[in-house]
Amino acid sequence: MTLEGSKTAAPVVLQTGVNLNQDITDKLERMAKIYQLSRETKDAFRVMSYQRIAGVIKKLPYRIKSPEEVQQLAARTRGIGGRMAEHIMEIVKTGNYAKLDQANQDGRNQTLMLFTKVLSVGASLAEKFYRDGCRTLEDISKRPDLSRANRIGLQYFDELQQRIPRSEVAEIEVGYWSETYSP
Amino acid sequence: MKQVLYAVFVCIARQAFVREVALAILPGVELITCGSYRRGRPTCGDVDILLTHQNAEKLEGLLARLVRELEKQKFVTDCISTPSNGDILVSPDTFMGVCVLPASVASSMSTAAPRLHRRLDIRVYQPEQFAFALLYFTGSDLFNRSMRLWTRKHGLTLSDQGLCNATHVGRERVAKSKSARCLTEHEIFAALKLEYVPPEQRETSGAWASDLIKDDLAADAAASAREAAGAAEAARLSPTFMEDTEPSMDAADPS
Repeated sequence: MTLEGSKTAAPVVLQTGVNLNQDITDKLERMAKIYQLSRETKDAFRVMSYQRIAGVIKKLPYRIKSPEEVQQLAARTRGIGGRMAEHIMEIVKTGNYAKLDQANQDGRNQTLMLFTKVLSVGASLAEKFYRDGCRTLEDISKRPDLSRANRIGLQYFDELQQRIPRSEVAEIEVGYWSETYSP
Repeated sequence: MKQVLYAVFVCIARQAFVREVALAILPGVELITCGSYRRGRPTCGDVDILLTHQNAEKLEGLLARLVRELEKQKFVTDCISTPSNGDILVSPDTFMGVCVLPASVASSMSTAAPRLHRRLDIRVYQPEQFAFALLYFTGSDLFNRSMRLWTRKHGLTLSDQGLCNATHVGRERVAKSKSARCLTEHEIFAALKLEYVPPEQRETSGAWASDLIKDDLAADAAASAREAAGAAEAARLSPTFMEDTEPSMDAADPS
């Protein structure tokens, strides 16, 4: 029994870059997630552009404060067109993104979003479930055409939604010391 | 008054998991946990572990034995995809499943914290593919995408299994060479004439990506990216390709 293993565990690394525009990038990424529910090609391109813009803004060393800054950003960045600039401006100006709010409130989107949280359920399968009248996880669980991964995903649904603290990942990799008491 | 001494015996036991179990089965096995864990994130969505060994022949049957052992310990609870049965080495050999750590006996003695089921992937790669797998499964998706784009612009193709010379007709790939020989991530970046990016800086696309902001503060990064691009253009990327081995090089797209 040695502690050798734990020496090789990856150290906790502090993030070098801090995202100064997280409220903005959160909204853009959420919008990308919603477009991911769609199977249309043009929406696949939207997913990419929202993700890319979010990635660019994440790296900015300053906080975007004015619409002028958004305009400057759009002029200097490939892939931000007029409409994307408008979306970002709306978020900067109002702190809100009406298009996202609307999409979030949409019942069909909410249901599809829930379904895609099940292991191995993608946009097309979620849509198939929805078309067949499924509205809850319970509805899905009655289907005879679920894959092994789908069933496991439903069985541990709540647990698998939880993030894993990195300390636990380290335990899974290298093990840990546990104390047993007697008596 | 008599003092009664109650002796409490504390037994400290080592709970061994993936690393030690793998080492017990195959001494000298190399193991790295990738994904957001390797990128230094405070929390992770799942656990993604890569295995290899200097001696490729010894990898045969390793994953099947490892998973069997972890199931015996009630650590692996469910299999989504099981490893190859061990007769031949399929590379990469992949296990996808669910695991749960035993309830931890907290130092307070009373509260055993309940453990949650977690998604666990374990993959075994040939040693010469390991660096490519490491790069691929460390991500992030956005970073990988920017790296593959860079690679493709230079007529090469990058996957979890290698860096190959590719011939394209239109968008279709018609021919592919053997992989370049890179035993570390550093060597892959060097073969692509890119500056090494440490895992914790791979959250977004690489500095060479064309969507970079040409900002005052980012000017240095942009300049070095342009320089790298210029140098690459001048020198044409020419990694040394391996001659032996015959790995299947089909690029898997990231999920």
